[in-house]
Amino acid sequence: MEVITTPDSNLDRTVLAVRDLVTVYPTRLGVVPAVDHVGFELQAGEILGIVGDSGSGKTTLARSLLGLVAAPGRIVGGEILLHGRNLLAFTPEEMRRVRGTEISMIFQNPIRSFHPGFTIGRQLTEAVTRHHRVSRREATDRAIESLTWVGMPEPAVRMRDHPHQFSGGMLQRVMIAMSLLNEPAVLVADEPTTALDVTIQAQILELVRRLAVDRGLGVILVTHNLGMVASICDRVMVMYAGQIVEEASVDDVFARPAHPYTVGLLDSQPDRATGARLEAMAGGSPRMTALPPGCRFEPRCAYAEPQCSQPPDLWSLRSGQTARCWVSKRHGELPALPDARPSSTGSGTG
Amino acid sequence: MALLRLDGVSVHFRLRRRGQGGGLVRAVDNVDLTINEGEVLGIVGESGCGKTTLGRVIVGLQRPTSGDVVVRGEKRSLRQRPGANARADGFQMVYQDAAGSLNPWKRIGWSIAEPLRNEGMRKPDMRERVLELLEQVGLPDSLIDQYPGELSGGQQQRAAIARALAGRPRLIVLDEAVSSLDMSTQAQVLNLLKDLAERHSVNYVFISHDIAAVDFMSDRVAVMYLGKIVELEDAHDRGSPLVHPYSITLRSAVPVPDPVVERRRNRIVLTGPVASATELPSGCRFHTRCPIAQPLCADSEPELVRASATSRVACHFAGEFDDRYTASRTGTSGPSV
Repeated sequence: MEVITTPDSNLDRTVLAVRDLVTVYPTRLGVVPAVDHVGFELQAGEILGIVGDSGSGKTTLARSLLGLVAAPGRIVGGEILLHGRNLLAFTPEEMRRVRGTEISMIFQNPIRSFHPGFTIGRQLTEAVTRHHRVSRREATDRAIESLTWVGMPEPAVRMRDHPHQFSGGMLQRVMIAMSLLNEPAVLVADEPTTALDVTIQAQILELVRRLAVDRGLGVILVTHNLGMVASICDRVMVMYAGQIVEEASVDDVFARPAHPYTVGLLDSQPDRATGARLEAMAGGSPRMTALPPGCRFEPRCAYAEPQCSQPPDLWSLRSGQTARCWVSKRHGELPALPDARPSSTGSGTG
Repeated sequence: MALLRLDGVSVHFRLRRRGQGGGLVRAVDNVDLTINEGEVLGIVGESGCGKTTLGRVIVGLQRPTSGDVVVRGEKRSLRQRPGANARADGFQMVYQDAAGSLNPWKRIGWSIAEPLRNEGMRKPDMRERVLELLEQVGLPDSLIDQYPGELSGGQQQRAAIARALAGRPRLIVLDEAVSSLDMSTQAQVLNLLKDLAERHSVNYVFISHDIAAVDFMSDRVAVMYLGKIVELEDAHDRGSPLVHPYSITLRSAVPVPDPVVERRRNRIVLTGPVASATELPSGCRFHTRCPIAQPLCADSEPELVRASATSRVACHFAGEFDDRYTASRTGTSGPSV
């Protein structure tokens, strides 16, 4: 895939750079910062995982990147630089042109992303002709080709089928094909396999990984599934209550998590459990309308100390990780906890 | 004594589709299963394998098309209304969508007390019992007068569990009861369920597509594929893995949260077409997707027979599909289905 380099894109492999992005939702109880000063970069061919609990802002972040935040939510600050051009300065019409051609998105439930009354072929070719002045023949060829990329058997035949004639896994492939039709540089995938069976999920993950490696596609994978992250992501961003609390390579995050919330996530996995109980985190996420003044994780944190009543920054640590935590800042990493963590069945806030 | 025994239980649904005639869905097909006192039975399988229907048969909400359900040595009458069966046997069910199983217009306390009202309990006793139940599931007293909409997903699921516990049930069927919860909340609820089982000697049937959660919860695991149990353990031992090719594939398909392990492992990606429950394949139902299928598999349906010290397996070639074989096969894992 061709990577367009413009004069003001300083790193040639960087396809997407997000700086200080703020997306808010006005509510009766005040303005909620669903995405709170988030920044990151995505390289061509890289798969970046965004993990967090529901309500952490990961889906709002994903939708912000494509200008698809549902009203009354809106982006109030920051920059989204796609090949160096700030998407937030684009008009809605320009944004429509960018979506699908330079950055595209796939969603959790493929059946809801297609019109039930038209054939897949018609919907795919329309996606081509909407953005390019090409003949019908050419658009059809392109659609068939993209179905081939995603491993659809007999693509020319399946073009005549309607969405309901596909299985969930196959339809997710069609959606990926559609998102790749115009060769975007960035694919945002929001829980792309949550609605699919595990054996089908394995196939889709393998497909996404291959597209990144072979075609240099930059992928942002939004998920709550740490197994998926471990299996295909290069880098991971952990979100909590609207903020990034940790960013690191996939190996670092799993081998030496630098934020207590990340530790809690990893310990909640039954796969990692050795004993009779899981090390579940106490409590639940804070209400976004009543955030703690300091560190947002402090009320649940086993490491909490007096300093944590001040808001921490996202600091770089020795190891190359970044974490929003006073404790790991002071130690250069998150030290082992001396005494056992508070256990959590008793807590009712979950 | 066995708490519950299923003898050759089948549940068939007739489809009425205009113009296409009636198909027959064999959601559960000739299943034998025993649930012993004091154990957690895990049922794992993919969507459409019949695990929810089987759960509904166990709890008494679904009448089997054929076969017997024997509860504590007595055959369950088929003349009863299905719901009455569940109540008489002291069986309860907890669903995936906790919000959908709580009345949104009624306070939490009212919903939890529903089984108590059915028992005819007096009002003051009822409030006391509800407070006791809230405490057992780790919810604060104050929730008794709140509405479901004011609760988080994890709290709603705890409330649904409290209601299931209200009538002091013998058995609770948990159908994907933690699947919709966030990871950290899931861990809390799994711990809670484990504690409750120990303290109140309640049995669970834990139904899930998540093999890691089933592993964690269960004393024994049953693996279902297209209406059949293809593997059934006598005792769950994390050291001795499941041996049916489908069980192995299922486990292999689930990515584990460890990048080092993930990089090293060979994932089995199934290639054959997924069969439908209306047009079952001949012979072994898994043979269309099975990596080690032989001609025999298309001709004759394997019985559930003992394959190892701890498990029974329905496969003609059980045990021949192991790690070594897996490693040599994975080169073929392509994008095709």
